[in-house]
Amino acid sequence: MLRIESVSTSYPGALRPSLNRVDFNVGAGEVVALLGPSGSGKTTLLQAIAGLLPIDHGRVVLAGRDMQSIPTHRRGVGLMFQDFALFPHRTVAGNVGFGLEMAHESPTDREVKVDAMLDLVGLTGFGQRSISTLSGGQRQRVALARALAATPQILMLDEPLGALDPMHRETLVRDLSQVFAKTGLSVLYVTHDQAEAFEVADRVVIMNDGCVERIGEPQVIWSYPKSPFVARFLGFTNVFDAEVFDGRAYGPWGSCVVASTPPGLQPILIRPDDVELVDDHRPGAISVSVAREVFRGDHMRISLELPGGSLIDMDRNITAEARHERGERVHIFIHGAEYLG
Amino acid sequence: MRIVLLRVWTRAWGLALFVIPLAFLAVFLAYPVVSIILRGLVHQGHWNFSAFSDVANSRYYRKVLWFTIWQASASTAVTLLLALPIAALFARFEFRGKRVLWALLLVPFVLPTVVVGASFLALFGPHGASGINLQGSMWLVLLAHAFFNVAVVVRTVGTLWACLDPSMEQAARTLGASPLRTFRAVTLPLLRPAIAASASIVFLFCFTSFGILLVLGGSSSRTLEVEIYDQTARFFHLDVAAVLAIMQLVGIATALVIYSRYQRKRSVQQSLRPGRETAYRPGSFRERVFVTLALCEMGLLFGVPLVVLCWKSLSIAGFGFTSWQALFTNKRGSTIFVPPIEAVGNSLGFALAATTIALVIGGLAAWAIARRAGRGLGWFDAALLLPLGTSAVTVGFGFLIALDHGPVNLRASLWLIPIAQAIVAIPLVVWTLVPMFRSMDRQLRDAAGVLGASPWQVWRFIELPVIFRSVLVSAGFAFAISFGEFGATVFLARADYPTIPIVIYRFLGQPGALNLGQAMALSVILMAVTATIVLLVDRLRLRQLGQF
Repeated sequence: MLRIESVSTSYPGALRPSLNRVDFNVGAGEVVALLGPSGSGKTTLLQAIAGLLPIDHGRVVLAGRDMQSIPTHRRGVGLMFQDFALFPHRTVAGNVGFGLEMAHESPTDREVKVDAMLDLVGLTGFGQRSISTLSGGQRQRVALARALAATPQILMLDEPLGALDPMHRETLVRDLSQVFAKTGLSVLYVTHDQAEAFEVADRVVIMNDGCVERIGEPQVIWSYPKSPFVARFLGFTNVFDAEVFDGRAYGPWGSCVVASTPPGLQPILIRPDDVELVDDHRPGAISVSVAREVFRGDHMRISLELPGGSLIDMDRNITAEARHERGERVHIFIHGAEYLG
Repeated sequence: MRIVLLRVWTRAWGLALFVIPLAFLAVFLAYPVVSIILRGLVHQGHWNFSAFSDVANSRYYRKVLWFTIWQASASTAVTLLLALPIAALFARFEFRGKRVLWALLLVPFVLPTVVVGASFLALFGPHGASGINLQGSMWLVLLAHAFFNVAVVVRTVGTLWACLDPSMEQAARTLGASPLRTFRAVTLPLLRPAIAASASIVFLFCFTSFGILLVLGGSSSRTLEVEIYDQTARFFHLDVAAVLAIMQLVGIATALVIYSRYQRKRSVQQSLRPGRETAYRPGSFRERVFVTLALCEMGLLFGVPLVVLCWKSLSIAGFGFTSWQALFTNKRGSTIFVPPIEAVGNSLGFALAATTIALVIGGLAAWAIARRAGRGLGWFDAALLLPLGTSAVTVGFGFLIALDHGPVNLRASLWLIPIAQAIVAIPLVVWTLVPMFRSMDRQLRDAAGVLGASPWQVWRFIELPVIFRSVLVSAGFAFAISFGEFGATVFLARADYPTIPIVIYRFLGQPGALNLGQAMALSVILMAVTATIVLLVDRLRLRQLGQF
């Protein structure tokens, strides 16, 4: 449905990040999450797709049409802005029906469609309300209804939950997913929160500094981060540079097994559940000191200080066992590492 | 290719936004001002400072300069003193009729100076209602200046005051400060930016005050403005007038610079609360006494002079409509050649033209300034501040000596008056529109574009509705200012096309009760029109944020 082909942009003042040869597709009916830290170029890309920002190189192709010479208002893209950008001088219905009005639909058709949209987002009967009387969550729904009412080829959402109370996030993410499923639209969903991205998206595009770092399904990305940036962005802390030869990775932890890694200095990931507390008799066990232990709800996260001072994290089940004191010496065994490349 | 063309077009349009207002100001403001300077400092092609040193060394002009500064400072002090209780009243208390009174506050501010002069004469002049003749007394001038400018202070300081978090004052009280201590140690310092801002505006207004001093001042109360007018219109000493105008420009520029320095140093970040959350109904006996006294003060200061003006217009030349009827006749030997009532039509016509010019030029300028948001006060913004610092008399005088001959010869043109009035009104238009244009969210335009609105539709359906009220508001102000404009018009008005303020001034200068009565009747007309406009304007922006 949407093809982004090697798109680059640049800013004269470099206030916002530019894009560097961004390349990916969004299939028909597919929900793609654009994930990355702030400043990685996600919003810039949305603006480029919408035609709000000129492209230096590459093409944006929507439904088979090259968008290069098509102005924003004829592109047929739906964009939900980060702080919603609702028109303060129009009612809820006036906002939702705006796109239909621009398409010269008759007032009666408009009314029917606006009501249907408000039903869809759960705001039945809100049509005549003024924007200033709405809560944050209601505004988000109006913005969504407004973007949907114009029947866009693709729906783009810029941090749709960014401006909202974290307490309602769970339900809002679920509601959004339901709306995506009902409308069957192609969706490009921008967020910096990986949990949110994994929940709504069929595929995830991870961006870093204006470039696409990784594209894949959530489970695949989680299982194979393949780069130190992605691993760190997913919340993994045990990312190291290790000396690799003969299928083993050497570092301050001694050595451990690592699969299919070329020899030499390589980035590796040690998952916290691959680190185990053991007796000191176990062959390959190393002695470390406890830096701190943190309660994480369903497990305990222990940070351990390796010889040489670097830290390694491990998880353990919550048992009756006493908590570890700071500075206490324990022994660990590392079951294996993964190659990040 | 298309994109390149589009960018060139956008560039050209952006440039036009700058060029049109700048060109207008260059021809109708900079050129006259430069002409004044050259007139004062260049003789027969050479720089010559003799006229300058003559004026500087004359005891008489040093006295004029000193008096100008002194009366402006004293007027500012009196205005602040009278305004702060009223500001507190509006900021902290809820009472019946608050909204209407808040709107009515603006009426004195936009009233033409000659009307204010006439009202105070109706009260304290010869044949005055109070029976005391104070014409020529300094007190009358100070009071009239306060009448004018209290609204400026009340509306700027009151707005900030209403938004101050009362919990800061409450904290001071729990820490052992008396109400008076709390006011001095907490409230006053927090209000300082607004007080300083309004005080400097008031000082500038009084420094360039013209109509009030001309009507109410005695022979010894002569300011630079009055002197410039007399030297030009009575004695034809254009060189001296030019030197005085230069001195005045330097004085105003200095005041503006000091003010902006001060503002930069003093501005503190404050956490503000919406004004309506902080006001309450007066509860204790003390509070009720305060509210009553403050309301009485407003009544005495604003109500009495205006009511007396209306009454005197009916009673001064024998009770009834004698004065009003005389407005329709063309009296032989009168200083104007037409029935006075024709001045109403002239004023309306000139003010309409001036409003249109001020809206177009001021609107383009405001748009250009707002588009450059965030880059601070550049030279373009400074160029637009120039009219604010140029007194009406300087504009009128400059037009007289610059546009009378040479490249821009408008001597015979009736356009001279509306253009001069527009120059006086433009700063107000710019400063009401800039905040509105700035608050116009870029995202709203983008959102409309994404929803299929063409650039024209974006303007028609999003931008225009949002700014429409502001445009109307600034049009209302521009009209009120132009309609009652006196300082510039008095230099340019022709005997066959006088405006209302000019006719009032001429009548006030003539002896006899009927002349005074006609002046007051015309003042009532002028007051009624301006008051109506201001109230309409205030209606329009009831739902809008921002003051002034």
